[in-house]
Amino acid sequence: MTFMSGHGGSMFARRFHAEGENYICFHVLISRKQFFFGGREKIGMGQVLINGMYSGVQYSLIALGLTLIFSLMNVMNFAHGQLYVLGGFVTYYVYGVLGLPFPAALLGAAATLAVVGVLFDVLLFRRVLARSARDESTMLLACGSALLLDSLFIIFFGEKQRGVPPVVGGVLRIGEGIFLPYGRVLIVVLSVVLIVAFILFMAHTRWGRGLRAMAQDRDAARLMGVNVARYSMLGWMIASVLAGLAGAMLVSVSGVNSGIGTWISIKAFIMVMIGGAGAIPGAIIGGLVLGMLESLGAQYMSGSQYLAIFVALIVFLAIRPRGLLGRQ
Amino acid sequence: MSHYFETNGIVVKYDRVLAVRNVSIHMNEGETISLIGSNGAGKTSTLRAITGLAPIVSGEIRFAGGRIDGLPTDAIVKLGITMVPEGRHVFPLMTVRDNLLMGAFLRRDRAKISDSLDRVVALFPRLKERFHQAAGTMSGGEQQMMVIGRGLMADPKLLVMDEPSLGVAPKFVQEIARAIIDINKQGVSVILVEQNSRMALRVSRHAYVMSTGSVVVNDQSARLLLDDRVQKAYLGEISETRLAGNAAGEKAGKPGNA
Repeated sequence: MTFMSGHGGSMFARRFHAEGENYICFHVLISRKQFFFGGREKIGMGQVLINGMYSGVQYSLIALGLTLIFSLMNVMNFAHGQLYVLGGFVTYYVYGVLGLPFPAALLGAAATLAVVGVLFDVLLFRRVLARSARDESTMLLACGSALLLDSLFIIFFGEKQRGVPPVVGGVLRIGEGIFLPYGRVLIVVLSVVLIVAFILFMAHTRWGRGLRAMAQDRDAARLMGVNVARYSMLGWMIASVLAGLAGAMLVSVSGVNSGIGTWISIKAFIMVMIGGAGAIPGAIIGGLVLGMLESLGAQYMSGSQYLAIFVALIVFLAIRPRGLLGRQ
Repeated sequence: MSHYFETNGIVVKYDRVLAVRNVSIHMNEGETISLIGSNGAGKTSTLRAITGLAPIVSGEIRFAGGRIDGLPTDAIVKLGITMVPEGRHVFPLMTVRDNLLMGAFLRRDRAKISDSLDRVVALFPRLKERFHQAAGTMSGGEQQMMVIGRGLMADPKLLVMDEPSLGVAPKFVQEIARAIIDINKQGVSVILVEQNSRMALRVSRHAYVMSTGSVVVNDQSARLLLDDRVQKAYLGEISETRLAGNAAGEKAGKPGNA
């Protein structure tokens, strides 16, 4: 729902009603949005914070992948949001259309994105990085990849908003006015597990140490015997899988459509800028901060929350260009 | 005839600039040799070629009987050649201990890795106090000791050191020189690249003097140390200022050092 609010929920609503196909799932979405964020029914502060947490945790997952690629490869991956979208569509087909269990959809999304991540490296970025040290080259490549994926999505998945039935039904009610739909609780828990697993992987495994070494000093890492080509591929794989799993989970809450990739990328960049590029804790904090800002914004300045967020971001970056935890 | 380690007429180019022209050096197992010469003489490029960081255009590099040119760096490390890079290249956010363990990245035997760690600590006791500190927060001299230790963690047969005295306070230069001699005594062959030619000539048996990409003189270190003409013609005044303790000013020369 939070994605929609930025994109103009009414536009989707209109398109949706015109097409009608996913009426039930989207109707739930719209009504829930009105319930949480609607102008007349103000919701309690507790609920606002909970909503911010929801989005924040999943945003962190998206930002982690982006910051990983940035710190490993010095690449700004503008196609990161498209990887998210792809994960969403895999869930839509595996879980929504084929009716297989949700975990199968997550596995399918992870496997698909692992392959796409490797292809990104082997077919695109590795080749360009071998020939050009200029940042612009990989930036343009990333933008081009984003456009390519957007077009492929339109061709293969169409332009409809797609959603899936809730993974688990029911709503947990805490006290007065705080609602925790179990479906959201589930994906928040899964996201936290993924984030913790990622951190432990980076901190305590040999592969994680190799990746960290490569991010901190590529030449020195090579001299220690790190096979940088293979570890770059590993980095792309992990980053893509993280983005894809975020999409694969969130489709059960907010749906997915072919056009939201760039918007997701922009949000991911905001998070990374808030937290500081290249820092893992920075990505997590950035994600939580953006989730919280969106939730508060939707409550108190509905309709213009992104204006406020962007203005605040510009002021923040003017004061602290490195972000909260960034290195130089 | 074949030496333990040798380069035969290697050429390294960056874009169209020749950084190394036709350089041939060789050494026997267990020796220390040094490559000396002023800034831009091609010393670092030679080392980068040896470790596979820079491709060679022609020539060949042989180690322990086999050709190693064209191999990727991690394969060369696996064969037993480890480089301690110029400018230290610590992993700044990792602890000293993790930095050292990165040196043993390709090794699997935990017991032996732990032995190596003990040996490194015995060589540089100061590192023990810093074990859990982020490496980027240490002084230049301490970082240099750490990266030498990190190089040893790979349990190398041949240790290649690039400017270990660069940007290091004089009291540490002595300690590093002593460590190089110790390392060599433990059976590790050493190639030492230095602008501090006096230090290099004191710890090595044989030395190659490089200038504008070529080896211009090569002789026993003890003899070069006494040769005034060589000192003046190829090594400049830099070693003198270095010995006078002007170590801090050396950092300025670092970026242009090919």
